[in-house]
Amino acid sequence: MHPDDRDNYSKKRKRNDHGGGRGQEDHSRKRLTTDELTLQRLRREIIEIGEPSRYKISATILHAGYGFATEIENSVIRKGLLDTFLAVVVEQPHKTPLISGILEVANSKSESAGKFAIEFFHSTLQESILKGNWNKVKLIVRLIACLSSIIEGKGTVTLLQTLLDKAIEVQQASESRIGFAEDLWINALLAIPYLILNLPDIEDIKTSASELLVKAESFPTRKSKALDLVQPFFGEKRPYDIKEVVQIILPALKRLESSEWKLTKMMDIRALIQPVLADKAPTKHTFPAIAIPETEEYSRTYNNENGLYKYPRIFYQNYLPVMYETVPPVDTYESLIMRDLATDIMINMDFNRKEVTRQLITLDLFFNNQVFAEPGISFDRLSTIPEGSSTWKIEDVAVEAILSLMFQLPEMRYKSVYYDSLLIEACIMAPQAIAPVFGRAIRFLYSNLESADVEVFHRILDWFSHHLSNFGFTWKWQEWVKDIELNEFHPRKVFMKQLIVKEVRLSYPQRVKDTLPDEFVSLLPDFQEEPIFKYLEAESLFQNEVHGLISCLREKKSSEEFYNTLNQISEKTELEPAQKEVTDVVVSSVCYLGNRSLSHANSWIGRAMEYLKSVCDDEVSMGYAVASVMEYWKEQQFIGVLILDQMLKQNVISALSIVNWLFEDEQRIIFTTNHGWEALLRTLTHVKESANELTIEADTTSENNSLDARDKIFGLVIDKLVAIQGIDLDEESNKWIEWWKRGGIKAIMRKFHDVFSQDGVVNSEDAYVLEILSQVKALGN
Amino acid sequence: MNEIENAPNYIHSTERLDGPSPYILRSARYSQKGRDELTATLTSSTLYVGNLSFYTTEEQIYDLFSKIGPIKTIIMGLDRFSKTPCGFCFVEYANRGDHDNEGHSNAVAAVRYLNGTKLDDRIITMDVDPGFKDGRQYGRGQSGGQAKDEFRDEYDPGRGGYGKRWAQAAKDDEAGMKEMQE
Repeated sequence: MHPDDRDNYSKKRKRNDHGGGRGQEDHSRKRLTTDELTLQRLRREIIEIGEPSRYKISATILHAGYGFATEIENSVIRKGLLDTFLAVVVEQPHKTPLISGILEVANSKSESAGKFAIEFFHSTLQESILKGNWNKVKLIVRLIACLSSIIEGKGTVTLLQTLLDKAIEVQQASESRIGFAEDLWINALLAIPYLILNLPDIEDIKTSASELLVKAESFPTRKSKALDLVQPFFGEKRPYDIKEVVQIILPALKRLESSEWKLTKMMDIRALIQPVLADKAPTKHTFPAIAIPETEEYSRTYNNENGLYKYPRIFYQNYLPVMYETVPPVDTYESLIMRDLATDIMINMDFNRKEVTRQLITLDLFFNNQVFAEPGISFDRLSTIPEGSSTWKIEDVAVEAILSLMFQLPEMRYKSVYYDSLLIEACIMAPQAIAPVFGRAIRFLYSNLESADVEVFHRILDWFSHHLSNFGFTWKWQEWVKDIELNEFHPRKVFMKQLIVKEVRLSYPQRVKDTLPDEFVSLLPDFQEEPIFKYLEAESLFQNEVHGLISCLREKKSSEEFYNTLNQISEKTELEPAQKEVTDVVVSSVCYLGNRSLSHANSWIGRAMEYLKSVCDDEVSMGYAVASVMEYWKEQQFIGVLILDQMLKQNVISALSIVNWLFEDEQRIIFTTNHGWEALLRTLTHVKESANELTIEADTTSENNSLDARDKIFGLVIDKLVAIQGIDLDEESNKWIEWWKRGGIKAIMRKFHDVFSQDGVVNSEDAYVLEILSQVKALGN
Repeated sequence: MNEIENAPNYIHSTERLDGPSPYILRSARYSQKGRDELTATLTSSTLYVGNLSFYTTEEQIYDLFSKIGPIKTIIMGLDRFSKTPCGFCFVEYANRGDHDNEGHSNAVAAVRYLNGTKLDDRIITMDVDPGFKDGRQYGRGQSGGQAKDEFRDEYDPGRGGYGKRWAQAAKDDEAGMKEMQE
């Protein structure tokens, strides 16, 4: 990448003032007071610290630090700046060491500035602990660790000890894994390098750090039984062995200890501020002890939203060291810190995806400048860099961090589209630097699809199709051309075919067709402009009757006339039982009337409700209705299943009838099509949600009934998955069917783990199901 | 609503991309109706989506926006006269009983994550909408579509070519010239 490019995207966002909403532009019309102007200027310096600038970092640190110190008696500015420091520490934690530099400089100018800052962070830390906001706790602790040079005595070390003690106490009291304890423990450990960072020459601190490590050793790490359940890749061909953060951290820090705590990868803050501080001894401030009360409560309320360790936190790897090592090896402290920083930027700043992306792809600026290869360097050019220089690529670190959240199991922290849009932004901001990295990610994922978790498989598909839809559907399809010949059930073949279908769903057939090489056009399904309505075709036996029915519906004629016509059809049909024909006629007429769009379909279901319910009066006829919808929409089944969903929500058909249909199909559409898989998940979600809704309002009897009904469907789905067999197929197909079946069972049970972990839901005795069930039950710990 | 508009807000290190639209903030400054609308956007489950192609279908919109959460309904914006899509829509997210204001947070999430990304090869825009009222599905431009399509002077094949007013003006000119000549 050209260095100017980097400057460009670094400065792109500097439109408005920071911190406001999109309406901020209006503020510019108002005249700002001197206080506001000062505040805004200092805020900008603080927030953008370390980013490309025409001033040296040391000059900005000095300026911001002195600015804060000078204005310390002005309560408006002080409050505004303290909030700003906190915002940066939480949302852009890679800047924390620089923030600590600013505060240290401020303290050297005015001890009152240091005092206010320490008091502010102390009370914010205590408050975050009481609120159980563990992510914020971690990030403030990290700043405190950086500030140890202006904290009295062993205040910082005591703080880390308190956290470690609590973590050890909580975990020792339990035989199973406690996410909250792991969080505290890991985060106290992650703060240790920061403790050293700012005081590299003080032997005392190194001794304290080593003592902390000794203490940390008594943390009893409990291996989660659900570890297999949270891996994106599994099986013998998996690309790498899973590593848990909790297993990596202590050995990584011990290696750092044996290297005399030399933090060669981190930015040298001391060197930046030492000239300013000169040799003057800093004024130190007390950091009172922190209390962590009532830990049982915390363990209970600890969740995915306030911490990262509710479920085992693992290291997702996308760029394995093939030829060159482009990301730090997972078991080093710098890799843990980088990954943790990237994760927190994404988690805490999701309200501005552009800023998140910009910070992620410039994260290298916040490490020692030898740590990464030049930004935007292509993979091929890594061969030209001198022996001994770093081959780490910041783009690889950034993309890997995004994907690690995208493939987080059992659930994502944010909506999947957030991660999609981060990758879209990255490709827009730095196309030349990111596009090849992105391509390598896809190649890695595609080549490992045989080992992919089924849910991860679908997440890749969703993301990739969404991504391509933002970039004109251009993809190097030729790379996959040899896979066209693969077995129909092979994950890579299914992936290619479903990717094309997904593209069409976000676009239209001709658009996608134009982007495909000839070899792939055959994978594009036939899409009719408008489905054929068989009852109005010339050869239909019931052409007149159906015309009659349709005009009854359109003109809202009497129901008597409608039912009379139905009777005629019932008498005339040769189909056994006649009910099947009658249901088919009514349901497909409604499909026909509503074929213009989903909302037309929806409104016709509403208008024909009485008739629909009269023909769908038991499970058998609901089954006919489902078949009828799917036959009408056979060319565009993904629309058909949405119509089914509407009929389910409007109580025309049952969840059972949809489930039955899904498993009836010879092509095992649950596995080989998006719409099949999506319909299954949607239907189960509907069942689960309606049971929840009913239990809120209902009395005990109906509560039990609705829960029973839910449990029955969920149990049945597992039975049906277990029963899937590929008897009529060749050996290879059978092998893949089995692959899908096992993956499907795992994904479904994990997704609805709260339902499945309850007693009596799973009745299957199948060994694999029971194995997954025991993991599902262990998920929370 | 003053607190939303005026409160100096330093709790973030950068601007939010999911705040109320400048349009609503502006009208909240001048009228009670605007202030009521602004209040409504704080709880509304409805999303306004703009800059769609006239050819984008409800199913395409469904496919993209259901990635965020369950959709209750999609209302396509129509030309007042021809009743054909005219490039905008409302997406209302579903509120399920035991999820606290799920629909609203999904609408906000859509603004946050999807505003400015592409659908059907076009960059689409979105805002949390104060809530759909009957009649709002129609374009408010003089010729039936959206007002923004009246004056557009560049050619946009996805939205009916040149602005309608320009097209009309060109026609009138021609007619006027003829008249004068006669």
